Amino acid sequence: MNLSARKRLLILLTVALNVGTISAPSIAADAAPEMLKLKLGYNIGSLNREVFLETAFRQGFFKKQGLEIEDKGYAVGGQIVQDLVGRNLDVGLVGISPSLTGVARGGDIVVVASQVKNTAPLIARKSIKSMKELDGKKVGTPGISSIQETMLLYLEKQNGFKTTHVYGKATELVNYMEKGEIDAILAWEPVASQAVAKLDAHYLLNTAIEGAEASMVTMSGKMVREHPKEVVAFLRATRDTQLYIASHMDEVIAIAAEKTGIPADVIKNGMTRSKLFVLPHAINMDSVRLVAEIDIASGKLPDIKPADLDQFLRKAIDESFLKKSMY
Amino acid sequence: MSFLRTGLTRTLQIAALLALWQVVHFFTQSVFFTSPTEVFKAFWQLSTVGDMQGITLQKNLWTSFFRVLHGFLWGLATAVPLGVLLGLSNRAYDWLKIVIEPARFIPPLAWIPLAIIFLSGEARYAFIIWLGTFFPVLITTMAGVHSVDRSLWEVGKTFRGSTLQLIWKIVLPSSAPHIASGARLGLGTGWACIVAAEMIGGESVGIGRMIVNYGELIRLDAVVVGMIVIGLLGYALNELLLAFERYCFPWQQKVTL
Amino acid sequence: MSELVYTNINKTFTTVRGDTVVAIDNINLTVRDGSFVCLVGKSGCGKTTLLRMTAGLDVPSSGSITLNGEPIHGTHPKIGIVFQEDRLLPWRTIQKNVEFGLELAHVGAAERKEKALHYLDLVGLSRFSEAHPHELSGGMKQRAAIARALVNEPEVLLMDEPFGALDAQTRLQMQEELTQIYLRENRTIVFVTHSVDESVFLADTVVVLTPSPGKIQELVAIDLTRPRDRTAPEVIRYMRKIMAHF
Repeated sequence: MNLSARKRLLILLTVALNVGTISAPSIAADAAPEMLKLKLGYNIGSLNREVFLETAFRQGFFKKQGLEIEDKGYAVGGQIVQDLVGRNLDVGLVGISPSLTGVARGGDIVVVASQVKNTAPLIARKSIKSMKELDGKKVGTPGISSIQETMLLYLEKQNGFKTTHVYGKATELVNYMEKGEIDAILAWEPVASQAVAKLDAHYLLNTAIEGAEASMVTMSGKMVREHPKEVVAFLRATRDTQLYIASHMDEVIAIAAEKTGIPADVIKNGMTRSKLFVLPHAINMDSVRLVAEIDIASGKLPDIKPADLDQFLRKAIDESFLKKSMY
Repeated sequence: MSFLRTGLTRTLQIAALLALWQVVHFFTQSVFFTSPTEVFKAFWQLSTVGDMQGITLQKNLWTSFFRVLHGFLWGLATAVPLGVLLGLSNRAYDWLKIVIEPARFIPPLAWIPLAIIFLSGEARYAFIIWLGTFFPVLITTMAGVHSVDRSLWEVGKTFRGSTLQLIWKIVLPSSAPHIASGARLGLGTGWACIVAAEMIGGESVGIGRMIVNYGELIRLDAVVVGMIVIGLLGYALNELLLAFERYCFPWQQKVTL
Repeated sequence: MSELVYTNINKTFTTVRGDTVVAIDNINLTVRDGSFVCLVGKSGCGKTTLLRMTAGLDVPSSGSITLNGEPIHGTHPKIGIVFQEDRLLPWRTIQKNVEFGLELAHVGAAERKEKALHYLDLVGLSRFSEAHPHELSGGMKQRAAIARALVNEPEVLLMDEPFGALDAQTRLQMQEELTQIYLRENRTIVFVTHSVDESVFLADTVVVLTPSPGKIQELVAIDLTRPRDRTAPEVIRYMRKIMAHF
């Protein structure tokens, strides 16, 4: 092939490549008609994927509501909120603490329901018999933005001890503890249950505060304004999922065990201790207020005067969709 | 006199840029767009009071710096001797090529899962930084050895020097500027890796860790502080090494990169 | 007695394309002890190849080179060479550069220093012993290269167009300085150049070579006292004689 023919071919290929990549997204975006496609973020290793979403997908609860879910895993809530605020996600199954932080920083997001409560277990080496003995030790949490971090700060204040917080992916915290880099973990289940099963460790607390909010259903502002009906539909689907899980525990645990490689009894232990996926979706506002206060004190939330706190919480939380979803 | 003038021009340029930034921030009012004043406030806070764990910006920065230095020195200690050997012996290179060539295209960050499982504590960072330094230094050392002027080697031969003598007295000093250059680039890559390396977690101190933490909290002002500080220190290190190179090898005409 | 004898020297090359090129065709030459011989010719006449073979950097395809009756195989301790480029080691001081050959021969530090400074003085570079090559002019660097070759006290000094890279003024000056050095040291010198006037100024015998293949056309004995007057009629006559071959 001579030089000018080669040049022409090169130009042709370049143009074709560019056209192809520009049009590619629109080709992929053709979901089934009438189904609204939602991008959803969840915390990796929290069972939100392997139990919650898996059940919903298998039983078609979202489909039934006319929703198609594209799920994405994240290491910690703060990163889910980053994408929610940045309009890369429509909905997140994400902690109350990072959600509030997102709102406080000016993010256009809203908390519409509780998803999972508790799931803030504290486990430590067997040699550490009480929380006071954690003083000066290292405790691992999923990240500075997580609700588990907030709960740790709460426990430290209440019980008069101070620790060095070490952050890492929840799935790696057990590894760090095994290597002796940390002495305790406060992270979502089943991490705690795994640690106890694998290492010489024990539960100091099943969860930091019984009945406290942990994971929420947080939506982007756009979603809430432009698709209010679908928000309600989503919450109906989550309720159906929860009901199914509650009545088919062993079945869903078996599926999760297969998907994660974690033994079924370890998963069951964690789920039971934190009463995962079985508590109602109504928001425990006392708990939310407490979280907000702790986060303000620690600097995770900017300074909000007590008088303005209620206003802030009203902005951050909207339970009207939840109410509508209860049939 | 011209030094002062350049200094003044630079200051004015920076001031103009900051002013522009502030104006853009004012108009966009986006949660993602921080402003110079916010960044400065964050900088002040971080330097004096420290981050949420009370660790100052300086402590975070120097912790990361020493991690990089650690990995970097290991990188030099391993890559330079090996690079000299491979540069001199084509046979040795052919032999090791099958391992080295694919390996050097694996980005250091891809090694992170392995680093987490097999290493603990500071060793993880040292390893990732070592990876970022090792391959650039290895390749430039080899290239440096290859680029030894044949005519100088001939001079050595006419004086009946043994191969070992010639390697020691001609090849090594001749490759030194290239090795130094490669080391400087290796330090740059190593420094660029530190944020990602510290994202591994398992630590609470470090500039990379600080950036990740504040990112999670959507505190972009602090994130920008971290970024600027990393950039400035990297720049300073590069300039320092360049000056060192110019001092040691005054006969080299260099492209400064 | 440092007599250098070339007997039936032939050199053939095979080009990349596979052709055979005869670079040197049956050269026989005797260089007497203490004489200054110039090899003159256009490019391709094999003069540099001859020199490199003498230095041990190349081998003849057939024939032999002997020094004092002993055949030369590779580099010889008593044969030194100065190239067209100074080829000084840029990271060493001038003194350390001059010491280089002695260093490789494991001569002691004190002796090396003494010898180096002696020859630096000879070439007029005593003041620059601590300087680095990049601080010196082209002519000064060549002088250092000459000192470096001399410090080994070779019986034969080979010089491959050593002044070719210098400007005209410096070149003339270097020719005069080399003459002085020759008169003082009285070593055997084989000097390659393509400059006829340079050869007449410097040599006792000018070996005229023509290329393709390299052959000796004539040996012209220059019977003039040194230093020579470049414009003298006898000098011009010799030049004409040599140039007739080109």
